[in-house]
Amino acid sequence: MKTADKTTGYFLRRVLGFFVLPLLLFGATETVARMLHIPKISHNNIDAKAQQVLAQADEQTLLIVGDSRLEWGLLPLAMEENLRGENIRVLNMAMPGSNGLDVMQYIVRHKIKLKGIVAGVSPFFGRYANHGVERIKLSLRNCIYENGHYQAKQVFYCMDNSIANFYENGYPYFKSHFYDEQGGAVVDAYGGYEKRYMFQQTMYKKWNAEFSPGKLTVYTNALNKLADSLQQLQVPVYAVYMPVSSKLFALEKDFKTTLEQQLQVESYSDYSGFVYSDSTLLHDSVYFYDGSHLSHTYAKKFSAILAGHIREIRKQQANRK
Amino acid sequence: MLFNSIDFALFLPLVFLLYWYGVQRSLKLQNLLLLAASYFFYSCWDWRFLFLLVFSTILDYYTGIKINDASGKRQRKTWLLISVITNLGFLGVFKYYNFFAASFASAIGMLGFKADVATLEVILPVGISFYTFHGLSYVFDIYNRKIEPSRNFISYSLFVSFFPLLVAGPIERATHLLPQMEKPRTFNYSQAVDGLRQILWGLFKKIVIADNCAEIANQVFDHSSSYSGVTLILGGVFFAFQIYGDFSGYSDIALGTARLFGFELLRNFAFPYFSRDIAEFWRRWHISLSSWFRDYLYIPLGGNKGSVMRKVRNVFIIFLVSGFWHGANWTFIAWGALNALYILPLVIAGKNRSNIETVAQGRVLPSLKEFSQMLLTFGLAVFAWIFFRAESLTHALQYVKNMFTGLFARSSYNEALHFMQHTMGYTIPLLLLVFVLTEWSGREQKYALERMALKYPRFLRWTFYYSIAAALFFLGGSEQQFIYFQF
Repeated sequence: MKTADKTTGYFLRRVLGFFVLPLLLFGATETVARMLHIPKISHNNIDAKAQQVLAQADEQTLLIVGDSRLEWGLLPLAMEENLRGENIRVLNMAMPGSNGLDVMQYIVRHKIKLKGIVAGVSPFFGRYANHGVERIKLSLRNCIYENGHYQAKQVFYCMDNSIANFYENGYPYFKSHFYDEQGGAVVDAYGGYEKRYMFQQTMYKKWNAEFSPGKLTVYTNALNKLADSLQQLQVPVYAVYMPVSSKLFALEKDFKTTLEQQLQVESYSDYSGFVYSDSTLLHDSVYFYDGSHLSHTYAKKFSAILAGHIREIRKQQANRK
Repeated sequence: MLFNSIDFALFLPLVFLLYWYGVQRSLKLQNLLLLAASYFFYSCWDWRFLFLLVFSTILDYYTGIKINDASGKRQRKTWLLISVITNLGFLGVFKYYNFFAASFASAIGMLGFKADVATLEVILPVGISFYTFHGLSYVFDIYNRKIEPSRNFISYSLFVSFFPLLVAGPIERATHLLPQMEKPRTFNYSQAVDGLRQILWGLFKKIVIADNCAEIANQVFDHSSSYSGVTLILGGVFFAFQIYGDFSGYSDIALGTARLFGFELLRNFAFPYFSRDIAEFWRRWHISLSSWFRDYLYIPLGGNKGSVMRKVRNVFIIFLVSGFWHGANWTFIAWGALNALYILPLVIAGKNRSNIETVAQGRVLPSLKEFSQMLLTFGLAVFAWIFFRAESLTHALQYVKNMFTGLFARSSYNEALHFMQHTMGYTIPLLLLVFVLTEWSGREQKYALERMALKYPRFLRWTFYYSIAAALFFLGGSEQQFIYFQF
């Protein structure tokens, strides 16, 4: 079988040779990115993100945390405009798939003083654990692939969008969406409304089917505990229930009461009954980008409404004092 | 384990290395390794169904020997019937029981009676239709004295379970594959390189073409009541590309993978969308299944010989059974019936074999006549695919009705234009164009890239390969299950 061995070896060398060019490109990209000191922050590296953003935070900063609904739906500049008298700076650290607990933990750990925190709440936030490995079922396959993938994303620039985001998106560069002058995510991907809505609906249906009261309790307990710790730092937490389209709200409203019963934050705003300008609740495609995330125009309006609400609460608190 | 998964990307090289470096000196060990790998591959879906596969293998192996050794015709027939009834029995229970039970209850209900028929909460064992047909072809061939039964259980088991073809074919014949299993194999460099090339092209068809088209087709079919005219036609066209890319892509990967181990599998697709009539289409689409039905059903029934009524009956039987083979749903039966109606005039007129050669052989472009014929055949195939893809017969009929509603209205074209702009942009039509042109240029070969090594210098070839590899990473659609796994 000598001939066969030789041919097999030659074949393998040729196959491996095919991968040399992509490997060289990969190596070159990794080296150049490091030489240019492009920050490498993967999506689930909250600590690194917090270091970037919270370095600029002070006692006049109102910080937004939560998932992509807050990321897209709350525009910092629109909120600042409506909180003008108070000279407040708004920073949006909401990220897709985050329930904000990780950012709040960072703040407590580093004793960062802020004006306040707007934390998104939802009965489905119990399932979020910062996209981390803790969510992964511990089968052998998942241990190998998911953890491998997770670690690779932490290390390699080519495994996420750090480089592209650094050059294209500007501040805060690590986010996954483009930002406009209002500080809001510019959302123009994934085809028409129906197609985007379908994607969201599938996700909400899955969350609805897999809803776990235990996970919700773990989440609300952690949030309440963090709110207490933040209270001691004199950082109030304003919980906000972001509006979603009527059809998607139908998939989460069953669990909303439980969430509200368990919440013990200082102030809670429910926008599930968000009053649209023309009261046509079913006209979802006008108000939402995909049924779940507010469209830019309505994000601006909603940000103003929320800012007004926060201003009111602050006034009442000041009067009480 | 899907062919387009990381699992398979690790599994295949590992088996390849063990096969050519670990056990290359012993045919028995090579076969044993491939059998173990095949069983592992199958158990990645659901290990419990492995017992069914092993049982089916033992049954056909044993009945094959018994048929051969039986002294009288009656005995031979008895053993054949045992094999056929058991095999089809399993297929019936797992695949068709619920369909028959529900149809029976519905029919009784229409007569004014109420029937509470128990349905089974079982999932369909993946690949059952394929390996059952492997086994049946083996016992039929022994019964018809075309082959001697295998006396090597390992070789026979590998013939039934060889992992590249186990879950979605091609449906192999014992006359073709079994001798390859029993013959020593040496590594053939050209065959292996060709195999890799075919795998690459198969992955492109599946990940880039089929998965991208699937997103559009799903959008249209899932919301068909919201669309009309041209958009619904587009939905059908994209499904036609989806199912072709998906299934022929799977077959390419299967054939390419088998080549890496020194096996040549039956060709399953021969550029069916370049057919000039529907008979040619069926000679080029899912060839291993069509020829299976031809050899074991159509010809025993008399084929296209005899009276017109007999021809009509045989054509309908073969297409209805073929439709039913795809799944327990009236939509597949309607799809089969539609194809029978398409092909019937050709069979009756004796023109079903008028287009045997590849279209525009030796030429770059087809003639206007050929082009029109291809377009018409493609249109007929697309129309039939609507029934294949629809959730139910009512859905299919509603789809067709909406499709013809306002077809010539300006608004229908505006809607389609708007739909295209918002769902696909320019990327998918461009990819489809590249795909169709590549397939057209390679239509006289076994697969589109077969003679690439002979035609182009290395630099161009490798640039093309790298482009395909890059497309797999950057232009792939969202991952979809292979359609034919459900059959």
